[in-house]
Amino acid sequence: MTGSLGTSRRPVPHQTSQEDPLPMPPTPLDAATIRELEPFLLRLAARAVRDPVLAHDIVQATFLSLIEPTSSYDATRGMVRSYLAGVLMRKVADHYRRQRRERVTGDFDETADGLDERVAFDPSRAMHPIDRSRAMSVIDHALARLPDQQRLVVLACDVEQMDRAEAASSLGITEGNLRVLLHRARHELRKALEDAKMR
Amino acid sequence: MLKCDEVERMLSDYEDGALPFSKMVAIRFHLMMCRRCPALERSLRETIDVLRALRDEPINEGVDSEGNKGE
Repeated sequence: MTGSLGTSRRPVPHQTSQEDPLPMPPTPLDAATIRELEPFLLRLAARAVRDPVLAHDIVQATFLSLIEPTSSYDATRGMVRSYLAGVLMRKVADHYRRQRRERVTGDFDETADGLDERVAFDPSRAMHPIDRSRAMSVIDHALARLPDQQRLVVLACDVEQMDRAEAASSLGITEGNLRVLLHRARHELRKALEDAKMR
Repeated sequence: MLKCDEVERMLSDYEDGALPFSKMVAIRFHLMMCRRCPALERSLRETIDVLRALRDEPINEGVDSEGNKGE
């Protein structure tokens, strides 16, 4: 009896051959790309899911998505970085959905229907300056409490400083939608920082 | 001149330079004249600065993606 393990194994990237029954399309996934993009993807995933092991798994699955036969990556349509960021965001969103199903909470805000929310701001209130590390801690905690899409938009645009077009494309939303989500998220975070100064 | 609530709605885009030039100038002008909005603008800028600095900060693993503190 011949073992099935050897025959079912997928070819390693770049090893496309004429005899291969499932020839792999050329892929941009090489060691240099992985070295270059892994830190960026790991930071994004780690801050999004707050679990280093899960973040590694998501990044690995993200890279693997490039060499899957179903990969929709098209080098003529954009940078591999944006494509991978998009795949990663979708995997993170899947994780959020699973988490939500388990916890039965309902804070996912996909509506983003406008910029009408007024954020109360009274400059006359007594403020106490807070040091940088406390400010970072306050913002980091507030970031974790944001609705999922707002959190991903802030991680992409502010923390990783992706440009808006790239972030919107990665998240699969319009730039207008991204603008609204970013506005809301930043104001929530700003409020958290100001509240911390009041304490 | 722009009203404060109009400025407030555009401040996030203003900080990113993502507005048409005429709006950028109008907001800059408003910020020079208004008594309330400059503090709001400083506060928003500080928030964005802190977010950018988070990029190189270690992640607080004691907080999950919903802001709950772990054990």
